[in-house]
Amino acid sequence: MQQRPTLTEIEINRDLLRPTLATPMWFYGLMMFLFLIVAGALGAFAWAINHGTGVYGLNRPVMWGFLLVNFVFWVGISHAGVMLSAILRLANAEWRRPATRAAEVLTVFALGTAALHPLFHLGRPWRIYWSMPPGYDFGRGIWPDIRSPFVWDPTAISTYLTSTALFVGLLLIPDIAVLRDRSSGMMQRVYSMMSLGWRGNTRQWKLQIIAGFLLSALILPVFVSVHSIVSWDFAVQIAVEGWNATIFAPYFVIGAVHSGVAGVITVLALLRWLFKWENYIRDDHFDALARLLIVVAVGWFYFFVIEFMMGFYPNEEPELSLRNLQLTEWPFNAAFIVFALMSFFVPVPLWMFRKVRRNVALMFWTTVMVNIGMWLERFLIIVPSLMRKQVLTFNWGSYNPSPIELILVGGSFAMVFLGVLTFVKFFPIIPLADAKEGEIMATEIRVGKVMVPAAYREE
Amino acid sequence: MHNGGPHGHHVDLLVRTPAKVNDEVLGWTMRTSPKYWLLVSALAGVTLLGFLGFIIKAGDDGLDSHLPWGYLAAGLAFVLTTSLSAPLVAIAPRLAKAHWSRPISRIAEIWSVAGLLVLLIMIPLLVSLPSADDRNTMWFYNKIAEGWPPGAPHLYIALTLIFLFINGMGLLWASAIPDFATAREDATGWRRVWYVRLSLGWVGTKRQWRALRAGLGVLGAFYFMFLVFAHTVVSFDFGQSLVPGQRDSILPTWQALGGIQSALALIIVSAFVIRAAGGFKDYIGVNQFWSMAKLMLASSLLWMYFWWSGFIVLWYGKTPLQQNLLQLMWFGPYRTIFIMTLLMSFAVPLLILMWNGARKSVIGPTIVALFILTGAFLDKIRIYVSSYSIEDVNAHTLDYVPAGVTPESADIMMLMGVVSGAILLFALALKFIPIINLWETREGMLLQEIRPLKRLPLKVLAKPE
Repeated sequence: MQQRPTLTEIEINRDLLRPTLATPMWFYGLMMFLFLIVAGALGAFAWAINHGTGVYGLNRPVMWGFLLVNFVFWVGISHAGVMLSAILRLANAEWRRPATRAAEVLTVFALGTAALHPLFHLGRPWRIYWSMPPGYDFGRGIWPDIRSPFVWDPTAISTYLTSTALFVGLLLIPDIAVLRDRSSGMMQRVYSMMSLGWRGNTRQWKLQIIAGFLLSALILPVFVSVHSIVSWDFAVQIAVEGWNATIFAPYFVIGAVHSGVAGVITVLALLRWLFKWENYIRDDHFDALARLLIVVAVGWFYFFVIEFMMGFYPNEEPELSLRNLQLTEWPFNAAFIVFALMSFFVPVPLWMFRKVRRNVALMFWTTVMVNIGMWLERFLIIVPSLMRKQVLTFNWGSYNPSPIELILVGGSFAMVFLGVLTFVKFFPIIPLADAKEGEIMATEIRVGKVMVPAAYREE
Repeated sequence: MHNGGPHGHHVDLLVRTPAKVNDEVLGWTMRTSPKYWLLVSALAGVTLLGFLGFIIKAGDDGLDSHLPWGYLAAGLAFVLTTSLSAPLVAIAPRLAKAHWSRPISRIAEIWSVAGLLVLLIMIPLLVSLPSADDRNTMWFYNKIAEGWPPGAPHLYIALTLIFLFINGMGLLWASAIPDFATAREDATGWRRVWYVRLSLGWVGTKRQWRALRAGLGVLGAFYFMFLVFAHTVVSFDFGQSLVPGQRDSILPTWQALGGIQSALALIIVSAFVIRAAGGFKDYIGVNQFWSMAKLMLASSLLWMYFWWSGFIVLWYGKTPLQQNLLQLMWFGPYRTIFIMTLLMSFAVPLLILMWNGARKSVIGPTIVALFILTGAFLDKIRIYVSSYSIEDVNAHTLDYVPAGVTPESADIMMLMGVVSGAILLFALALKFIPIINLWETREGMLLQEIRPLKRLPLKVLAKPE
């Protein structure tokens, strides 16, 4: 924390509320651009509804393609919010302060976007009604199979989405009160309602802190359950080679944390560049996040090696054929090489160097690289496994993504970034209260002739 | 909960001078009482009993078959998961620059001496381990008959455990070099000779400190990797590869995680004993127990999560093989052991440590740690004894569930000997190597202060780059 500049409360309010209270013109231009892409994706979806799922490149036996790969990817990205916010809050890590809200907001929009993908995939979105309690046809004695992960999935995702939105909303209250006092007209009325009469007295702060800690602790099991359940969509299927693995749940969770933390770093780099927040999102924050990412990446790699090795362990022909397909046949072999390089072998050695960890541009590009790699990882898990011929498979086609699927995948990225930018327009993405508390808690200790950065610690 | 002052032990420790810290710690290290020798003699006696048990067992059953040696394999896995995992509790917080671990880091590192015991137990287990030819193995099933990789799996198990031991000793030595240098100034006789030799001419120059920190980082990283690999190798080669058809990919990672949980438990119990026996209450305070208790709670929750993740896939699949595996591992002859493990490794830690009052105390985490160690011990028996009970390891699938193996008196003697042997090695080492890391503790004193924020006295923690 060597480079910490001293900031007053006035400076913090001015800098961090700038995108909300004095939005620059380029901001609207960027939002419009993203909106057009999203509109294009919605148009593609309308086309799919009109023409049926035949417009997707799905082909027996590969009935899960890019849309479900993308679903798993965005659920993964959404894991960063709780990972960073809840765990670092519970661990009282000082460097969490500028990153927590961006991570939480990324969770909300990534998860919301992920939840749309099963609808895209179904092609008949209204049929989702039959998988929800109001649609259960009890009258004819038809009950949902509660043993199916497909029933757990929407439950877990909706619980996670609700609790994360609650988490963001709760922690926003003090900052909304600041906005309330600096806005006018309709926005002031909205902010007044949302700030729930916050005045910042001792009792309110005490409640706020306790609620923050409780929610942090309660949300953690939900966060773990979501991706575990997504993994069980695959792992409980004994007929598909490569999926029926006991390690899948933690392997998916740690992979999600890997891509999610990388996603948060990407967003932080963008925020720093766009809003010139060098004093808030500092090099040492990137350094700390990159160190965390090294640990997560190494852990993820261990799980990957064990999972991949288990393909060879039983020495059975169908499983060996799958690994052969993944490693040696085009285009999966190219995807595998790119995945391995981008998700681990290039970025992790680079992060070992302090200069790289503190270089925002390099951190941006290496974390983008990680997420390209992790997207391909999901692709390599889903598509080649389905391509292996099963007993009783009467038709053996291959999968080629259609333009509609590509547009929907591209649109999902625009959707998430549009969501984050919309949030930035109305709320501070770096918590004001946290930034101010960080200023108060920061101090130094003299050791010999050197002043070492330090922080007060409440126990 | 606190002992003296608004911030308990921190105040007591921070008002000490570095010289006083040296005197107190080295004084205890170099002083041996009759009680100590009594303890050492008792431990040596039980260890010899274990050796006797081994002789009896080897005489009765020989080393030709793996079947009689399940309990000894469980003993090896238990020492691996507790003693040899313990140094992680020094390595990880050091990398994270956490201050709380400074007084207990040496306790964690000293446990690596038990690696010597692991190497001894490994020999009969390797002799009795069946060839990997024509059965599932992590060492490339279809190539063993062609002689590649040579010596698999025996050679690689041995190399893994030998390197882990050497790495652990290297880490312990490197971290103790500045303390040996401090000790050599006051020591006399044979101690002085050894402290001079082991301190390698340490005078504390900038260059030496830089080299020490780099060395600790590298040795720590390698230890972590070797340990995880050792858990993987042991859980495969002494565990699931003996069970035809079993492919439980979560097992090695679950065992590695269990190692972290058990290591924390072991250090909590050791810290409790040393704190009481050595009068180190100002050094090892509530903060250390609290910090480790939080990690122990997290690892207990993860332990359960990993178990459930593996279990649900087998339960859901319900193939004949998976049903037999469920019976063998959990619901058949070892059901009682499994339920006790579940209670001790998960339910009790959760129900006690969920309360902040229990976490933030000395006695609460210690009680939970004793449960966890017992749970880990039972878990190793469940996994390895059941795996070793399969006669035909070359079968294609597990088509029957063998009966449970109850321990013979020789097995009980061996298990007692293994546990006692590990404690004996630890007890011998702590009277030569300063049990409280002197240089880390002194450094910690420089980097912490109690200072008022407004009117409230708070602890200030510094974290140098």
